[in-house]
Amino acid sequence: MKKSIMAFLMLSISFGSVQAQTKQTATDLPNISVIGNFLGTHTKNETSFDVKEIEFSFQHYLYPSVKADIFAALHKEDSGERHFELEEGYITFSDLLGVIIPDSDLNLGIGALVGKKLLNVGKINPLHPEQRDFVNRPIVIRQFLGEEEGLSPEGAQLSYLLPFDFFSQLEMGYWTASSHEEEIGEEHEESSIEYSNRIFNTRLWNSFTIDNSKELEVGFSYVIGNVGAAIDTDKQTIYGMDITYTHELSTNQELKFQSELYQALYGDDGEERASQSGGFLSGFMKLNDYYQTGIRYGFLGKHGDEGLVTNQWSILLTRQLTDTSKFKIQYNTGENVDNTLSAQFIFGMGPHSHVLQ
Amino acid sequence: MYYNKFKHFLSVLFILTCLIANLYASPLKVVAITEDFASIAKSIGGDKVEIKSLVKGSRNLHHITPKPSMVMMMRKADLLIRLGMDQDSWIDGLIQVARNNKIFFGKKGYLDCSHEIKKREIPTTHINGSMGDVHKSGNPHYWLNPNNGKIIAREIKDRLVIMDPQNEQFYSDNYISFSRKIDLKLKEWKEKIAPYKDFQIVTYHKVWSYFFDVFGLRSIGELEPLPGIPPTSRHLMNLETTLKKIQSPKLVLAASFYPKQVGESFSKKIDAKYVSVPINVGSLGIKSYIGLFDYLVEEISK
Repeated sequence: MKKSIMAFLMLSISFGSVQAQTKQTATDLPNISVIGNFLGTHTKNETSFDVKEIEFSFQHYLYPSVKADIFAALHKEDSGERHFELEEGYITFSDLLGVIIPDSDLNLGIGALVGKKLLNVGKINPLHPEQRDFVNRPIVIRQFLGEEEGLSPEGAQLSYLLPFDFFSQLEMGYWTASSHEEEIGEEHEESSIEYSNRIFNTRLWNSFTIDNSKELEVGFSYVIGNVGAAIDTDKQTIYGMDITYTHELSTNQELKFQSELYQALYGDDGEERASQSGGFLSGFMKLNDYYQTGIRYGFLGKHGDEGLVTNQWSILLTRQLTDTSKFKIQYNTGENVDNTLSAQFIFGMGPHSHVLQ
Repeated sequence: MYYNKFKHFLSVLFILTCLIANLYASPLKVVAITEDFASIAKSIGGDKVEIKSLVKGSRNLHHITPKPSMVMMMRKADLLIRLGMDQDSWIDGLIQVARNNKIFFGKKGYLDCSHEIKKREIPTTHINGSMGDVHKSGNPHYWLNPNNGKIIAREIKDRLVIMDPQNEQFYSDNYISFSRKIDLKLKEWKEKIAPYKDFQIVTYHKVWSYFFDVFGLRSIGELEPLPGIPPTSRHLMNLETTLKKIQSPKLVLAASFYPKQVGESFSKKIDAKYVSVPINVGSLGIKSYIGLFDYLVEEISK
């Protein structure tokens, strides 16, 4: 492991050096960037500071409509150990037909993605830490879609922009589950809802322009875990709905309301399926180019008849330094959760981009 | 005999079909990054093009949030007009989602207008965040020089001719007409702004380099201590001390999307005129690229 980390770092540094030295000359090197996520937390029982994640990204067009994105990261686990793992690694084909038949002018608008990718379920799961408004993910997303790291399976996805006058994109994916795993001593724990065997997911993402400054997005998501199981009770199913309303108040002020609601059905060896629901509602205000503030309410119901109802309030203040570097302070409180004060510094070096999500 | 008649009938039918097709030919769908580029494209394309802009009015192009509505514009576009110079890299993610093979990089429908521009302030040393938000490709506000407007117009004309060769003469005539208008107006604008050549001008951000270049104006500093870093008390005090030693008249000039309070209070301290203006078409009733310079020159010189 150590050798692979060292090799990776050396490679990154050498690429970076070459890029710096040849700054004004044409190169065919990928865009290389580093994103750091430092997190300090304080609760009644514990105060900690962690270099939570250092992410290395490599992005490059392989062909006019074919792009490769690799995101690998050093994670610090709750056990204190650091693991180097592939967060995402995928190839996007923006014009599938054009790749197969280069001479074709036919524009089917079908895109494909192959590889390992944060699953497009709702608006939050596909986001990397530097893209998120809040320090942590809402409790419902952590429960259903894999704690802070997110559900990032391996497989393929097809996307199609439906021929309507408004934005409406249909996505369908077939994946192998690879939920985030952590080894603590001899124990082997899974930190998310367990997805065994294959996953099928579909998402319909719509957006309506209200006027030049207002936009409403409505999405519907559906995930089936262990999709090949012979009986329904062995499958895990999630139904989700997300709503995002954005209003540009002025040239540098923006208001955003966002909500996601989920219901999960758990399959457990032929027994009657237990259900669990949850969601969140957040308001986020960009005060100017430098400061943002937000408030979020999240809740998670019982797992069938077991467990406790949890809810959490979060308030946030962000100081934006650059597009990718920011400092956040967030306070969480609620029912059956620890009161937590978090301070996060996220920084970015080098060219880094994400597709519209 | 019958064969000849049939040949004539076919010829007439062909000509009629061409005429009808030409009459009902749908205009080329053009999507431009801002209304400045859209206005120039409209001057060249006239009624042969249907134009939309991704960004409306005067906006800080450093902080644009891509939206699904932008994807809808790009999905059906025949031509995408970009600013380039790494300033609009958020468009890349939209191209990926729009999946319109006409506007992929390298295709006829993809136009980066910055290629022929003589760029200013290209860093000559290694850059990093300690220098603020320095652009590795140089200052990207090149549309603020009307001569660059002519270069943008030429790029658009050349591309429209490739995409729609039947109307080459129409596009060429419009380009010549647009260039002449700019040349005539430039004389008028230069005359109006000439008295301000002696002014010591402070700007909020390095937005005005190309504008100052063409009108012979001089910037002696920015309210931002470094590009993209908000003004600090210490920096403003140092700037104030320096400026108070200078006797010539002073002007504080800012793009309207920057906070007005800082510029206004600073201009009072140094006894300077304060001007806050949009730098793009679409704001405050500015309807065209030429109208933008009419407005800017009027506001600075009044």
